[in-house]
Amino acid sequence: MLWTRSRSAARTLGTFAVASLLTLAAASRLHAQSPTPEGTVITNTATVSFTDANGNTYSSVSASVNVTVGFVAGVTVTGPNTATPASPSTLNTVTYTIQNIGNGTDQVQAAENISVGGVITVNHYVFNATNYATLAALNTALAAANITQNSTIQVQVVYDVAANKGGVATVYTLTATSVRTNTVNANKATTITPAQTFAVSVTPDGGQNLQKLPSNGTNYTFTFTVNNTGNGADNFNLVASHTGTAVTIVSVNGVAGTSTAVAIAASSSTNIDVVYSVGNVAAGTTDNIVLAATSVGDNTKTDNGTADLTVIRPAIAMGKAAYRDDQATLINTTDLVVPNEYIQYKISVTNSGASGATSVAIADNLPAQLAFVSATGDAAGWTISNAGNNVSASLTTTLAAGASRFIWIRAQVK
Amino acid sequence: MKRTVERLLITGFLLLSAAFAARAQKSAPRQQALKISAENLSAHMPRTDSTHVLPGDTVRYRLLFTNVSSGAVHGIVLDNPIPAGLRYQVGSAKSDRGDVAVLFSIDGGKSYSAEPTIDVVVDGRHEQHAAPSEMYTHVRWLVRGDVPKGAQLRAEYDALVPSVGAAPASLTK
Repeated sequence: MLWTRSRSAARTLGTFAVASLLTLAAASRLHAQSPTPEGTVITNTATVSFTDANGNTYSSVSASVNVTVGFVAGVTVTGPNTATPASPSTLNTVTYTIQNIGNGTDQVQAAENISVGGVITVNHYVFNATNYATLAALNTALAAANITQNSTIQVQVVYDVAANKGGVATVYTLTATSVRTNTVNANKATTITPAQTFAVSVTPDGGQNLQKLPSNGTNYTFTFTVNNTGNGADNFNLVASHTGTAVTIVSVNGVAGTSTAVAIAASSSTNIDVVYSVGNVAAGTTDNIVLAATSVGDNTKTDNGTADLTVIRPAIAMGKAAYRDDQATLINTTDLVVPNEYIQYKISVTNSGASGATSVAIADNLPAQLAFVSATGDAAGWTISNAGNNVSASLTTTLAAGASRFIWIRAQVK
Repeated sequence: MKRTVERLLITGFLLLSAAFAARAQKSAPRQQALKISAENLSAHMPRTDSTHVLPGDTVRYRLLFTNVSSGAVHGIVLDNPIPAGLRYQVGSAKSDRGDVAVLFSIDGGKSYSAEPTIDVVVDGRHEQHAAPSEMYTHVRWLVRGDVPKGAQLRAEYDALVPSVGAAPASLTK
């Protein structure tokens, strides 16, 4: 059997090749068409006309055939792409529209998925102005709701947002499945990202009255607390500085220099060590160590913490007085001593500074007219030795600020 | 007398011829000259079930013309309006004879063309573009030659049932 396709045959019969023209105006009659409704009977009627060999015409002959359209399910789900509720917040609503794009009446069942747990919690669902506490209850209602071809229903998902979830995205997906053909479904995913608030505080804010010796190679550490008071995880730029001339910043949070950055979870805090040195400046010099923390998420959110500092030093004063051998009778400059007499010198050290003094040592070289006999300390802690008249005494303990210690040196007048 | 008999015979023959001719013009051939059948080509439907289709299915319509008259016929024109709701599948129309031209209408059967075109304005210029399949309204088969007594002519084409979920366009018929 020879089957001839339309185009080749048409070319052989150019007589019929009269192009039909249709302007775009006519084309505008094109319109969107829904699928043929279930149960529609499509009737196709063909007609044949002919003549016989003698040119006699005959009545046209027609024939028809019917086909009936069956059911095909179709579902679409539309809704918002994104939502930005507050954190924390309650009773936020996202509305989904479910349309029956099949060619017959159908019902749907709903399913949901939440990609990241702990961000949102579904409070309830709303369908036809009725609240349903659970998805199962919603589906019971949906199963009884006939949706005609091209019709829509709306399902509202009412949800709560947990605290401290600013910026933490989760995807809520609502899936609608045809009841009549449960392999047909559609879904809509909504990315829910709770709005993030940015805030920071740094403590303490002064009042420590730190008293520090000049470093002389020894660094000091002060610990600030940086609090992320926003509702989401954030990074913070940290910059340490000082207001006076005594301090030099060595490192911040273990990073050499004056700046670094740190990540802190929502509503959490972290301790930041600022290492610094104190210059060789006069006692009483004051300075302030400042740690500034600035939110990376919102650089208008910044706060300073402060530690105030005063430079201290020990100040040793020495006193020496001569006593009779009873250690009680003071020998004034006008008093006389006689050969072979025993006298005693009381040598005292007093720390009048604001810091304890260590390695306090006394050296006393007795005059040649005297002969060293012995030396004792006022209390434990002295290490005393002599080489002839040269007497050395070292205090093995710290001479606290304001404290005073002394030794006795007994000698005989030659 | 002889002339009278001849006149009567001629008159009778003419009357009979006229009567047969008049009968031939007013009545269709006694047997069914045209049959049309439908087959759902989609795999999910049984091929034996030609009466049910689903959106998205393709239906193949087969036309069978049989010359049931007593002699050859010619000037055969098979017309088939594409049923409303169906979309002609471009390139599917064919026949089993080589002297058949297949033509199409996109204006409800007012005019026919082997390749219907539409006028499209592109950058201010009018251009002829092939008409989209959804604009096709009729299929016509024109047979140039004769069909002998008892012979058959087969023609067919495919049509799509608009599917669910698509956003098809269709000519208003």
